[in-house]
Amino acid sequence: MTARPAVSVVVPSIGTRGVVLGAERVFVVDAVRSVLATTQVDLEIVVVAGREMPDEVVESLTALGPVTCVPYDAEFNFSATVNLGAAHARGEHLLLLNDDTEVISPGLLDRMLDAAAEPGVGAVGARLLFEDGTLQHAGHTYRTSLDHVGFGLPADSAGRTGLLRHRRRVSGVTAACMLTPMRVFDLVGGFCTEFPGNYNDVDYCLKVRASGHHIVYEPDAVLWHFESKSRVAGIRTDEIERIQRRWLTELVDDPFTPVVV
Amino acid sequence: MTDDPAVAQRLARWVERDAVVGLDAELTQTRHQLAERDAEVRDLRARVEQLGNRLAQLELERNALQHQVTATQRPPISRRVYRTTRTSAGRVLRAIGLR
Repeated sequence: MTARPAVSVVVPSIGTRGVVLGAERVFVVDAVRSVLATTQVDLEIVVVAGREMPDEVVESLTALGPVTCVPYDAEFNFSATVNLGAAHARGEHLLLLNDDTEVISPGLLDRMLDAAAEPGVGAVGARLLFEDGTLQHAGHTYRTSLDHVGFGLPADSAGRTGLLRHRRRVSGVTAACMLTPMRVFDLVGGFCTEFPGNYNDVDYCLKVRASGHHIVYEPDAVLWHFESKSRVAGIRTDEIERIQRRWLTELVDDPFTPVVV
Repeated sequence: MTDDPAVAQRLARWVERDAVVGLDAELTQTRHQLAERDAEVRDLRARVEQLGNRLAQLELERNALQHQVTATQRPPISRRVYRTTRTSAGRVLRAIGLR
């Protein structure tokens, strides 16, 4: 057994192919490649490979370096794939990463680790950009609806108050790119598998906050997120009911909302 | 999903832990809702009492006003005595054939 890595990057994927930024790619391969190309941090990568993932994608991934592919052979459940990847991880921190992302900022992991090193931090989120150059995510905002701060603003926008350019505490962050200490993940019981598609990150962040930790947004950790702006989330009624049953008061009385950007 | 006992153990521990955290969160919500309902019931009871008092007050005022209206509609006593006397006198006079 080698020394424990600083970070385990967990990437659930089925090896989807697509055209972005004018070129065809296998998303997960480019996502992993971008992580490895932009950091010197000691890390391992755990790709949770859905049953649809082609063998050649697994081969491409393992050729990249410290990559382990863990097979996931069940119905789609994002939380279950995250937990499975985390259960195979050895790192002191977990970086949960969507396969349709690509790291932009050099030293992304260093910046996120720096934010995570502040006292009481339980999760750190990044700045995510759509392919068209607009902002997808600069932290979550709750209360009347569950939204992304700064959604649709220009990528380099600081917001009227400069808020989007500052490391700050937020309501929550997206699991598309989230760094969390393994001890915190362990403490709160990982992701709730009763949120298979939506609100699993909201639930996780609220569990982390309920455990006395903070959620932090790191503006200098920047990634592309090739998720369609018009994606139909397909939110299930039981997911809405469950998130409200667990956290209605915290959502309605969210101390970080409204956010003036 | 996995044959590795360490991994299976970790996953099982997280499921258990998540259930505990989730139930605790739900209990907190239920307590919060209970406190909200208690406050609402207290408010409504206070309003019902206030409305009861106001109703009694209005009924008293209404009765006084009704009495005032009735009293205003009745002719004065002197007029009523005069009418009664005249009617009776007329009846007597008719009886004895003077009218």
